[in-house]
Amino acid sequence: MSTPVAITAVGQISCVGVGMAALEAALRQGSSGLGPVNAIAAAKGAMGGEVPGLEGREGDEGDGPLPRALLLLDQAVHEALTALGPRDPEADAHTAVIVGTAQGALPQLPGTAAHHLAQRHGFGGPRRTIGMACVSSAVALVQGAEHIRRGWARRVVVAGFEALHNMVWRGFDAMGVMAEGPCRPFDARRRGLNLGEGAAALILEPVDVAIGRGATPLAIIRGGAIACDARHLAAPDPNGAALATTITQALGRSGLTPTDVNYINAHATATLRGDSAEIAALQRALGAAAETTPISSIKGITGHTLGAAGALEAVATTLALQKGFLPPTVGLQTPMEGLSWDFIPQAGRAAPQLRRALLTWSAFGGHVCALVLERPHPEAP
Amino acid sequence: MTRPVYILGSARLRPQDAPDPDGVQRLQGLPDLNGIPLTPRQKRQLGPVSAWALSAVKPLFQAHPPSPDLALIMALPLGCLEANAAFEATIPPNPRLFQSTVANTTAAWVAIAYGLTGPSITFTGPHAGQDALTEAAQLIAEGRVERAVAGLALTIPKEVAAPWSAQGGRPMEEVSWVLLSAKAGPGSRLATGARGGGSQPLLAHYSAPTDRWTGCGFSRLVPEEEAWAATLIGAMRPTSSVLMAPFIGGRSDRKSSARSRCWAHCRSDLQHGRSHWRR
Repeated sequence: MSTPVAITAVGQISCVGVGMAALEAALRQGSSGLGPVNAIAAAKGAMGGEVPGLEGREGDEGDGPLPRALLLLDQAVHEALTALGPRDPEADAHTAVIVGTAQGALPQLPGTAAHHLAQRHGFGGPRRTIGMACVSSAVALVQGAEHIRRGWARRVVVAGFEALHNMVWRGFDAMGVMAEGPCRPFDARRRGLNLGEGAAALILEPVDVAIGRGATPLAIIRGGAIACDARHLAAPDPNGAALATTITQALGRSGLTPTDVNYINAHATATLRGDSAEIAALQRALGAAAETTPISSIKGITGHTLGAAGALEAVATTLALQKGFLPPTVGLQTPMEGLSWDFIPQAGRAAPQLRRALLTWSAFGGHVCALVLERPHPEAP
Repeated sequence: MTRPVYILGSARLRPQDAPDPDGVQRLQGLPDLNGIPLTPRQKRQLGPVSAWALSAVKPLFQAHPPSPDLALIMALPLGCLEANAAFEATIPPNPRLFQSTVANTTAAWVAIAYGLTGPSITFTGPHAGQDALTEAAQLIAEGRVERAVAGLALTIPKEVAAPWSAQGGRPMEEVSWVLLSAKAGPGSRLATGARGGGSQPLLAHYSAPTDRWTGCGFSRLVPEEEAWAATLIGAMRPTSSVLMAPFIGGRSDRKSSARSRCWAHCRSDLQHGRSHWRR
């Protein structure tokens, strides 16, 4: 990604609340949005990340009842577009929409969300939908940056969304990877994940275009990579080889080395195998830098939002870069495997010098993704 | 960096029989999994979409053994509806079936079978075939990979077939694969657009409107250099119109307006030999 791509606006909705202010407060204070889930029968009140107040809501343009997932998606995109400022019809005509989701707008057919957004907002550019489980919207973000770099779009709306769903809840429950209480990413006593729901949206533009119209980039996408470990449908490679390669590729495309990274936003869902594999990958890719670079997972705050996780964590990291703080790992008490890494436990930490962040994701199917974000330099571009 | 893209080979499974009572032309019989490098246990875990995809790709990979860094770009227009239904029918819930309820399952099985650890993306929705093909070509054109395979796997559940057929569609199941390379090989064909310049003209062609357009997708088939792409695109054309119709509802006017603007640009670009979407 040689052409700098700016993130110029963001939006989110999750169990911590609606809007970026709610997310910032939760990340700074380490306040979790997890609680009893009542939105779906399968949950039976178990712990998860439910967005309250969605029941009975309708779309804002007389659409009638929209699926829960699309209500989430629309809210996040609405916030991002509002933050973007006045609309430009010419730019809208060349605005791409790239959406990532694991199960999409069930029970609607998959792949319709990008079209839904394009129609609602009058975007005339390419539309793509990525269906790659927990890396869906992370891959959408990489694809969005590629669309800018390739000149396929003047602006890209990237979004990830996922709603709590009975089928998904039953599936994870049957796999035995759900925690009974709050999840504990990177903790020695971690017992599984908490499912969450939500949506996040990011607006991408070429840096020069953004600055040319007077916008202030929130963050720069430096580089990303996608791969597959080709090993198992649901069990990650314990050596983390594919994720390590992906991290190395993302750093290489960013022109950076491991020591250039100031913060790692990890996937870490708090499963036994998943967190161990991710640690192995980071050790393999970053070497000694892995032990000294602050690292956290926000799953203890938002739950695991599956297809929305990529976008939501990118939004959280953008916020961290913009405001100069490190999001915490809520739920962590005793670091796993005796690691003495800087996991930023419990509460956020001020980090005014924070400059570059590495983000990692893993999914069913062995698909992995890594991305490097950077705080814009004061003299940018 | 823009390089030429060559088609090394393709593989395709399409039904020949008449439509079934649901109005669907279905892939007949059972997928041939002999020679697929998976264990018997793994083969038993395959859902229909993945099994057909592996069956179709086998001869292509026998002729052109893939290297681990091959890019694998998949299109599953209907996602994993069948897998979802299969899982939901199990009591108690079967965790193995649940693992297949994500659209990237098919790509995962192909990757596992052939040890593919390179870039991998799975697109869903009406555009998925186009997206997979253009992305695979673009990865080669810009020097990211030396080879890429684009695949489309479309099996059609009954609940989708009914509204599709009712609206005059002709749903047809299909699995198609196209193997692309940066280097020519025996019998290969140049895949880049007629005007040269890498894959951008190819992409522009894909986005061009024609009178055969019926939905939210694309349908322009440029004979000669892009005839191969019809294997993917052909399956997508009927999908576009019917799948979107119930969802779009009453907002077609606005959609048409935005689409017209976008296509006016595209048509102009084509007429003047410019790259579509280029600022």
